[in-house]
Amino acid sequence: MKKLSTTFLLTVALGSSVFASDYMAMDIEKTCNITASNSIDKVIATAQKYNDIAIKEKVEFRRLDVNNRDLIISVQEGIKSGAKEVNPMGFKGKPSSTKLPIDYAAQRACKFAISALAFQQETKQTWREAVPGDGYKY
Amino acid sequence: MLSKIIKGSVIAALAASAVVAADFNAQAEKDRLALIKYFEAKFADPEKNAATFFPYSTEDELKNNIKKGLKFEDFGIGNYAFNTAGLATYNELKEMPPYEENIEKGEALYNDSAALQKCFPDVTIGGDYPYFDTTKNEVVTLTTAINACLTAAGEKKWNEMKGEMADLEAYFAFQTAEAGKKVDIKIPSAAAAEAYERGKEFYYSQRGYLKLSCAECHVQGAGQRVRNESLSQLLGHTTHFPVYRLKWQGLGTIERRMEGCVKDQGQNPPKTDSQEMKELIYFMSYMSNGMAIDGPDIRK
Repeated sequence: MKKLSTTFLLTVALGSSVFASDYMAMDIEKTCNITASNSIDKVIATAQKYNDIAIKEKVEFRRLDVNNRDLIISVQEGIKSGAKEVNPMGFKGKPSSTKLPIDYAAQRACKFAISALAFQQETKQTWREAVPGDGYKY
Repeated sequence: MLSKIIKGSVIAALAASAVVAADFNAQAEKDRLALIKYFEAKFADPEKNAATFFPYSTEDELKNNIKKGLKFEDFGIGNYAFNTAGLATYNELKEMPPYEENIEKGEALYNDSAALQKCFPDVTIGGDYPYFDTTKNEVVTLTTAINACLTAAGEKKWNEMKGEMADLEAYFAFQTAEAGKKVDIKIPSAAAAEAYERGKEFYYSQRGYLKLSCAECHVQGAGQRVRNESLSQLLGHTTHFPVYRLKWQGLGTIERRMEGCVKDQGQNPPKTDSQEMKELIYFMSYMSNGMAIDGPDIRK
């Protein structure tokens, strides 16, 4: 029983560490670029998946008053309506000044979602390098 | 003999507790002193140390627009500590400060509220916040304390970024400055030290689509120019809030400013009363320990 629980704990630890290093190792370009085999639906689903984690981790990106979640919504609505361009809502719930071709918006939303998590992982290892008296030397 | 033993034990216990109490802020104090050392070195002679501290500044800028020989107490007025041209404009604005009316409004709010007078009998508290509540194990900022006071009295919360909140804080800051008080942030427990560390990590972590940390601009970048603005230094950042910003055309709390900074890094910022925001301000305020409170103030 003890052996079993140790194996279980090890599996969980290994599993989570593999999962945790996923973001930095991910090929963002390949994952987020729209191609024949990587449709816009697939890309925006990826964006949604990782952005939900980014929101939970409190590292979601915001550009020009547009939270990434709103960019994702605008693409999802655009796919349904067949729009070629999207105009996402700003964080205050009003239309933003951002207007983008839908494919580009989907790619950006996907890249933003994964990058937010990759940056978070990276900075956990590097932030002390900027602290005077700790890692920062001058 | 017995009284000697008791006396000895009491002294030993007091000494031990003092050592433990001092231990909680040991790391923070080390950080604070290292930061002071860094900024004093950086502004000792910018022209001479350009390669180390100001690699992107022009010779003319270093010679004519960045003061040298700055010491700890000089850093309390933000970038005007070193920014010669900016200081001239700042001094002109200070002749008729646009926030005077806000101080009066804050005083009236205080005098009209029995609840606020009961919660804050001493109005010279600008340097004592944030503090760490050892019962609830959380950081309490002045903003959250004011709103907690109001809601406990059955009143509505105030906007945490401007308006009445900023006015009342302006009154407290003014009274604190008048009393000649200084920033006096304490780290009273292990949980408080952890909160401080989380605030520090937030400050030094790169975030947002621009992948910037607060430190890139306000530690390593302090004194550098971005377009026509000189970046201010972390040391002394919290001494002068709330501030009247020309960009806002009004007064705002430190939470409002921090929210704007995180947004500028390209991230959806933490809420003004969130744990992250409170701990960030706790860390920043500790870094300014010992500096005179000089709020409210004006910034671009």
